[in-house]
Amino acid sequence: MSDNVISIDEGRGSQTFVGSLRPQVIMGAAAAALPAVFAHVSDTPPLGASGVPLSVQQLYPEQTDDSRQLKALNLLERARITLLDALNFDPSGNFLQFDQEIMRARAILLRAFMYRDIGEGYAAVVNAVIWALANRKPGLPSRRQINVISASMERLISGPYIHFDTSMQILDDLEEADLDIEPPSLDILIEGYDG
Amino acid sequence: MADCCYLDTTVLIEALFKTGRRRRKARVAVQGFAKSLLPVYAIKEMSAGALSYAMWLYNRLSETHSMKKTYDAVTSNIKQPNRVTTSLELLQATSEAFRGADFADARTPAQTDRMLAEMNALALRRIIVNGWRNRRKVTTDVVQELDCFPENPPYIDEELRIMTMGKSSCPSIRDCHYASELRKRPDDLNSLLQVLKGSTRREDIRRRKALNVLTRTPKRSFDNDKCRWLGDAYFALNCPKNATILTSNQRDHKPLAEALGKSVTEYKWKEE
Repeated sequence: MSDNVISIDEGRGSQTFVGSLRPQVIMGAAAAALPAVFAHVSDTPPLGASGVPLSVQQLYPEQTDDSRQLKALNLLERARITLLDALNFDPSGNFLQFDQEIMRARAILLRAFMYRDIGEGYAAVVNAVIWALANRKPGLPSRRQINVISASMERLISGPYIHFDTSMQILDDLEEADLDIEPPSLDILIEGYDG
Repeated sequence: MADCCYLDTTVLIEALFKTGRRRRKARVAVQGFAKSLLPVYAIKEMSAGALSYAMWLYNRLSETHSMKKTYDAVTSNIKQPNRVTTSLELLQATSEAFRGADFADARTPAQTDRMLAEMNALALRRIIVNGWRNRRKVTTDVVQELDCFPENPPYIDEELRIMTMGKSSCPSIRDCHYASELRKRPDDLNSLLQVLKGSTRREDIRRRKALNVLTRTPKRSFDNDKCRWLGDAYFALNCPKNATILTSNQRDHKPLAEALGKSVTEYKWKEE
């Protein structure tokens, strides 16, 4: 693994990423393209009562299986890259290739949804994107919509343990991009209330 | 057309508790008026009705982890005169979105049903939370506050993992906030009673009872139940003269509003 790639397996070690104060999880093609710069300062992980740094398992006691998180984040990154790949095709001229990439991204996200026990925020965002793609009209999503989806994936990759309330802003952004993020069946269930 | 609308509960529900396109369409309709008024009574009706239903639906989806079981509960417990969809049709419609796709690890119909239920629950939770959060943002003005209505929000009980809500009804021992003002308008109350005379519909019978309490027994406390029974009559009584009642239920509102010289504008989700 390159020195410039932060490994999820090994953690950040004693290095702090200069670009952001948030914990960084960067994988795949995005990581390879990123000019990462590190400052040689000591990290300050959260400490327990005894002064010993808390492990990821202690910070997130319900998330004991790191491999699941790794798989989930890998899938998110794959889906994001696949969506960006779709932008290489003009849907008006290369509809089949364009739509093939969108379908591939959605299939990857369906797998990512299997790891929804990572958290409600994670589940909510992945769910919304799955339905945004499932509900798409021919020739869509647009470049702008794909960029909004990609940004939501990036947000999730950089911090998958988001609270449901935090995910609401991401979902609002998706909806503001004119993406239909709800399952159609919800219409039928909600109609059960006839006032 | 009036340039001011007075929202009834049906349009508020459309703007807050329906799915995406319907919410947007209702908000655009409201924004078509230069000024829009939302009486807090509509929030109270919405809390007791659509919001309570949405919360029940969310809890049911979370409890059963099944679209089929949830929809069966909806159809067997809630009156649906015009509904013909069966749970199987619902599942079929839902699964269509996944036609040709790899449904990941959900390999059996039961697993698929579970996954879909959880997807619907997640989307519904957002509708509920956002709906409540935006309840006072649909119109340009929120009017006629009810200091007896506690307006408690829905929330997830982290211990029991169910969605719940604080007390939403007014304290029963108190006379309703607006009752004393209505008692000063016997002519209006009697006009509405004339409109409702002879009707055998359940809601009209209740509405008559509530109006009779105000007109015939003014010293009797007008409690939470009577307040709710008033329903559509509240909007006819309290809509300002220069506004029109915006509703998707014109049939019920129109006779009441016209009896008091007020107008009604119908909002339709589906174009005919």
